[in-house]
Amino acid sequence: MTPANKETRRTVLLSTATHLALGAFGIVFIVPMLWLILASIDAHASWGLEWPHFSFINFRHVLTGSLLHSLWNSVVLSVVSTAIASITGVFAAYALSRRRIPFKTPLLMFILFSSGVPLAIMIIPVYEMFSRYNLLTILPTALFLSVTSLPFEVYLMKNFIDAVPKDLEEAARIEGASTFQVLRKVVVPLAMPGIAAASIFGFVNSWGSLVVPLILINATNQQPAPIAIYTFLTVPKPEYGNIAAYSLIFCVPVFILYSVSSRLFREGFVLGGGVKG
Amino acid sequence: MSGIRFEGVWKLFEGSAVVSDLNLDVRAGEFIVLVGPSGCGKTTSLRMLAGLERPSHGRIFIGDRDVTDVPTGERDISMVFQSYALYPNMNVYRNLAFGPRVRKEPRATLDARINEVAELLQIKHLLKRTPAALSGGQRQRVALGRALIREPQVFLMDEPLSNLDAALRVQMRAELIRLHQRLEKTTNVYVTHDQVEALTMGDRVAVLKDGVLLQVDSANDLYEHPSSVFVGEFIGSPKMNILEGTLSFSGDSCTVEVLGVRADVSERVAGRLREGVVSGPVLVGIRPHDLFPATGSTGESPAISATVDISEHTGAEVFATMETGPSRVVARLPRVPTPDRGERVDLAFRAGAVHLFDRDTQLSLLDRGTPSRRTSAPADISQQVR
Repeated sequence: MTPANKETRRTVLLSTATHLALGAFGIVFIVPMLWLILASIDAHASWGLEWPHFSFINFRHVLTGSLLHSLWNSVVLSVVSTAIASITGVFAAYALSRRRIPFKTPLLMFILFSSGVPLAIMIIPVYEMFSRYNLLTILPTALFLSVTSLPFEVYLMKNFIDAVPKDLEEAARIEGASTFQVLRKVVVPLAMPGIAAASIFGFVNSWGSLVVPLILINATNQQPAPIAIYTFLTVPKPEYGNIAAYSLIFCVPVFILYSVSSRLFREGFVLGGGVKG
Repeated sequence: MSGIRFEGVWKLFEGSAVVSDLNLDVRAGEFIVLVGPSGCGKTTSLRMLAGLERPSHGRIFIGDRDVTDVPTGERDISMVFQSYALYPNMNVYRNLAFGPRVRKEPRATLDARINEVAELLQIKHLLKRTPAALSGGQRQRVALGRALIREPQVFLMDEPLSNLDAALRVQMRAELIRLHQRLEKTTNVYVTHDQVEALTMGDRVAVLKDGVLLQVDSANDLYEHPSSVFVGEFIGSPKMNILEGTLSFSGDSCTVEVLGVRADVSERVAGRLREGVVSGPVLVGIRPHDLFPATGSTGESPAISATVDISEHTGAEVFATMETGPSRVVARLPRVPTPDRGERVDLAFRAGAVHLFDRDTQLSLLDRGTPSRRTSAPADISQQVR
């Protein structure tokens, strides 16, 4: 056997092994998804993967009453927390990007690290505080969720704002624009992909949050969808079809947002032509 | 109609002076060019005038108004950036309308005004396009248009042509001059590192080096009477030959010995020699245009024997680097016959065109155009300067 042949054989073997390994991982990921889809349209769904008795009955069951209300609660919780985090985040990121702030680098490091602090550390004192001031409802919880996603959002947006050329801001200032006008008309439109990405991060963070609303929201009629899914499993004989259908509906916004965000990232900046390349 | 005045303006960055004691008066309606190598402080000076940087010391006036502490948006200026700084998220029309809109100028006249400016700059057909869909020259025009919309007191330009290709640059240069003649009420401050641009465009040219204003003069005076070796070398292309020489006086006549020959420069220095100049070593500046094959006519120096090393054809003329004794000089040679490498040529210079500089201070020994600048910094500033 020539060395060249040996080399080819090695490459083929290696690539086959890689594909097999990836395939195995793929199956691990695809099976639960497949179960979710098949069980959601199966009138007699069980925990096993099987060919469905095709029906939309599960969807009809879950899109009623308190379950539907829980989805609405999730929308309120996520939209409010995303709005708060994104708006305050833009101001913070702009200041961190453009202004001279003492100890800016350590401050940025602190912000980045604080995005990694486990919720478990904070949740008990926060519960104490919320319960003392009678805040164990949905809107204060949205505020708390926005705070948990804020550090990472600020950091992400700051990097995008850094990339907006200073000349553009200076040109606007010479024309007589105020700082707020500069931010609104020049910086925000140009950093929009970053702001959108950060907002999507914040939204998904709140949307999927289970522990925080579970602890911080008292009233059952204010609890969001993840708690509803959790409740499905607390009965002796879970309705697997309903769980699957509800979970599938719950996933839809996340799927949509991820596809939007990937398009945003592909488009990237719209800075072309503004300043020299 | 407003002039501009810099009064003892300093700009310090981390203890070192980027602009040192800048004193400059620009007349109303004048087109002044700030020129110098990179890092000379010309852009910083412009940015201080625009209000984008605050001077560390000194005052800046536009007309009679002290604008040192006036926010940039209230200075009634327009600026064209080197990068053009067009808003990429807006089309050309909205780029032009940005200023009037943020200043809340009446909408009724805006359309007409934009059309007028667009017509003047021939960009009317581009109003709906975004900057990304424009060529370099078109972007340049839009940037210019955005500055013109304001009808400012002062028009600032920071190397606006440096991103254009050579042919377009020459064309835009001519258009900018025409534009200035049309808008004669506006005072223009133009920053460039290109001495040709400076000489062709400026009513007056201010030469800066290392943050110090060396000389402000018309193009002609800068060329004829450089105040220092630096200005002599910086202005004019190819650059001036600077040579070691000896100045001697005997009776009424004055001679300079340079490149191994002695030439009578009495006429050149008559009545212009600065006080206190005595016989001794000097630096002699001879422009390549004034150094050519000897013809033996009056006003010429004695012949200097030289050998051609490298010759550069510039179209109308040939400039050759020549070796003569220990020195290398650039001289103007005829186009035909093309000088060959190693060819021997007898050179002579125009004695009436030599420039004399002090060997230590490098300042001109002749009286016209010496810089009038303070020799020492104000006490509080010199302590801050490393």
